[in-house]
Amino acid sequence: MIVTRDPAALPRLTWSAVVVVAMVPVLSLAEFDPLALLDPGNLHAMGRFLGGFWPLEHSAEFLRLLARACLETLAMATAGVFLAIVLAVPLAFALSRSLSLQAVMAGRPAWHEGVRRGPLRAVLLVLRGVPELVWALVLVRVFGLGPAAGVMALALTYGGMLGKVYAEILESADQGPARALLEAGNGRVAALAYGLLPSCAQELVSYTVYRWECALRASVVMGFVGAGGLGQLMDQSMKMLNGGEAATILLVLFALVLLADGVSSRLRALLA
Amino acid sequence: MSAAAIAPPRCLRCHLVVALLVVAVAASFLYLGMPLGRLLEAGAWRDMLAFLGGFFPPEHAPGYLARVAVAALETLAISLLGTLLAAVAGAMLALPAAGRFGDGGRTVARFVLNALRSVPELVWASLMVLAAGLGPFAGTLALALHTSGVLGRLYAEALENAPPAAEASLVGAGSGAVAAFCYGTLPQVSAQWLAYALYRWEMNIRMAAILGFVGAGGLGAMLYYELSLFNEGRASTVIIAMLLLSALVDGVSQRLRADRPGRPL
Amino acid sequence: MNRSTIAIAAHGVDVVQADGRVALAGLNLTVRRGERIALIGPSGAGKTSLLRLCGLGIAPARGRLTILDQSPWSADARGLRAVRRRIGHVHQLPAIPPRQRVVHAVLAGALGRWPWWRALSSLVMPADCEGAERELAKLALADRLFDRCDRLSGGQLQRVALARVLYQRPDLVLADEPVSAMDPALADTTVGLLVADARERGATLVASLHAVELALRHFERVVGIGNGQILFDLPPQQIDTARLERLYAVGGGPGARPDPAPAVAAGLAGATLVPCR
Repeated sequence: MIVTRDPAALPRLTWSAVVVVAMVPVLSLAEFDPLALLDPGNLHAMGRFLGGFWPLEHSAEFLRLLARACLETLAMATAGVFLAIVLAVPLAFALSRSLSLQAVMAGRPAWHEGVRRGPLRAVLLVLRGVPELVWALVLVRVFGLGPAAGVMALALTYGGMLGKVYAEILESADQGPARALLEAGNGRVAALAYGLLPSCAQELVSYTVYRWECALRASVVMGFVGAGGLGQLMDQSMKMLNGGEAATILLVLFALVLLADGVSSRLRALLA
Repeated sequence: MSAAAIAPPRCLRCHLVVALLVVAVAASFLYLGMPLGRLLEAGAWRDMLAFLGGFFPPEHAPGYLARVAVAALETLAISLLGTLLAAVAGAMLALPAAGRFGDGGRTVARFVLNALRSVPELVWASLMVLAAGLGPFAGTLALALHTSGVLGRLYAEALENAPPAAEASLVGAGSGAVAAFCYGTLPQVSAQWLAYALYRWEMNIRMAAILGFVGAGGLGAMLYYELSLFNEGRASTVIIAMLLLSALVDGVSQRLRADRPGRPL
Repeated sequence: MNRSTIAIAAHGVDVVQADGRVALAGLNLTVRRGERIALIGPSGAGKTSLLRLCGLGIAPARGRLTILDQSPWSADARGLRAVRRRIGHVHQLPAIPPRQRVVHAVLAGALGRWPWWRALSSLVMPADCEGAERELAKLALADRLFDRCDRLSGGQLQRVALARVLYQRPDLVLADEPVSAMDPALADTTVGLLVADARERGATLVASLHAVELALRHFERVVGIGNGQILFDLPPQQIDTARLERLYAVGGGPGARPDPAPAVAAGLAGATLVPCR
């Protein structure tokens, strides 16, 4: 009979030990302290705040303010994504290897194209690598408090994301038609419009709609750094520990996110 | 388009949608009163460039770099612990949400999951700052709350899609409910559960970096602090750290996923 | 425990499947403790339904059923579980998670008698590698002890399912086409092993078999099922070709589908009907 020992036992034991040891600095760095939740001061503040949730704040004046903030949030997302598209289209057009004239003529992209694309890629990386909220925090200092900073922040981050994904979608499409057009001596715009767009348009639009949904979720919290919208109202209510206002805003926020979900999946279903 | 000739009604709807979109975009800009005209003025650009110039050179004194590194580690710790807590809570909520404790339990669990994930992390963070005080622990809780809503839903879906025969056969042989689940169904979903958790961890690292804006620790808290003191040079070091962290996560996850295509949402 | 001699007693039992199809009608069957019985008959005749009835996977729509001296369906959940613990069921398609390791799949046979904490700790550190290996060795599969089940062939997986039941050591063994994915020689030794195990332990064995010659060679009592009813119940010596031809000419049960593939699917779907407690 073979000696029976689980070959997975030792690695498992080792890994468990490693995880346990690694958790010590993680817990201390995150200042993990569940007892803080029971601290009398915190309990009191939270209790007072939550106690204020009912009744919901529903004065006409507040509701008018809320409606305005909602519209502002929606408008921020829409305007931000629009500017992002404006930023992304030329970037994707310049970046996409699918439209490389050199590749068609010489069989492969020329070396200087790589050099030209390098900085562009870096720009895109920085644009989308910095979270929209960080852009907003910075841009509030340029545009002042209000939705303008939020719109520009969305435009920068989402411009970077859309640019990268657009270029990828163009590259993943069937290259035949565009190549044929380029070889026949047509320009790159013509090759894009007649060779690539027919097969990728749906995916491009679908991804843009998805990003609009994400932008709406982001716009909701932009106000926390002073960039307008629902978040600004939320931030004020929280700072004043006004539970009734906060509860109403949370409900509206809930509805707004559901709405974005619904509209986005509807639009994408329409495309499919 | 050739499709128009074949199916005109559909394209009528397309035109309508396009028109609506144009109106929506125009209305958005009008409503916000965006100072787009200012973008064309030379003075505005000069102000902007002057402001952006303040971000260079980034602060690189060793002492400050060390503090940024600690904050980056803190961000990692927040995201890891938050995701871990969320995976546990998500699994607990997924069991009733998959209908294992009757229809009542399912309805309640689904409602809780929807509520948890509908509230953005940043809003949770500002609530948790009240409940647990300023600092990274509030950020951890905020990530855990939002992510458990997301993971709970995904976990419940995985549970519902797992073939029930294996667990049923164990129950048929008289094993208890807990044991039957762990031997029959858990092995069928565990790999997917892990993949979902890793994917959310990746997203949470980026999110943890900005939770500090509302006082929940990590790199965000540092950035907020430096910017409010107009230390643009120091702020830009923090932003670079965020970029590096994000690039690192990108690289690692691409490596891990290289042999396993099909990223879970 | 009451040591009476009856393992299965069914009187006038009807079995109706979830889709409303009558699988068994007016079934009368008595199996004494320690008996070894083979079920034969065309696909869809009701063999799987009979095994699921005895395995308490489906409740009778009508009639009286006693399993191991208990009336399980009138007992509470605890009583039902106590009876189920003493029944080992090999399903037509092994119901084993693909990513599970063989050792856990075999040890799962003991889940009925293990407390929950032992069951969970065994997932981390297998509680009884030797025991699992012993049962696998009987089936010439000891070298796959720590492999994952999705690395096994269909026949190997069937043997893992058998090893689980051997490890369970139940009083009543129910096997639904347990060797269907094995080559004839292996099928023969495997059925022989199952029969020998039941004889040694004094356990009752009911197995449905597609291969009639296996039934005739290894079992002391052969039950022919067709059309949801028992057509004959005889020792193998008294079964001749003419009787077999009549049995397989009858076809499946009421509303049965002729091809075997849906029958396999029905067996799988059937397993899902067991209430999760």
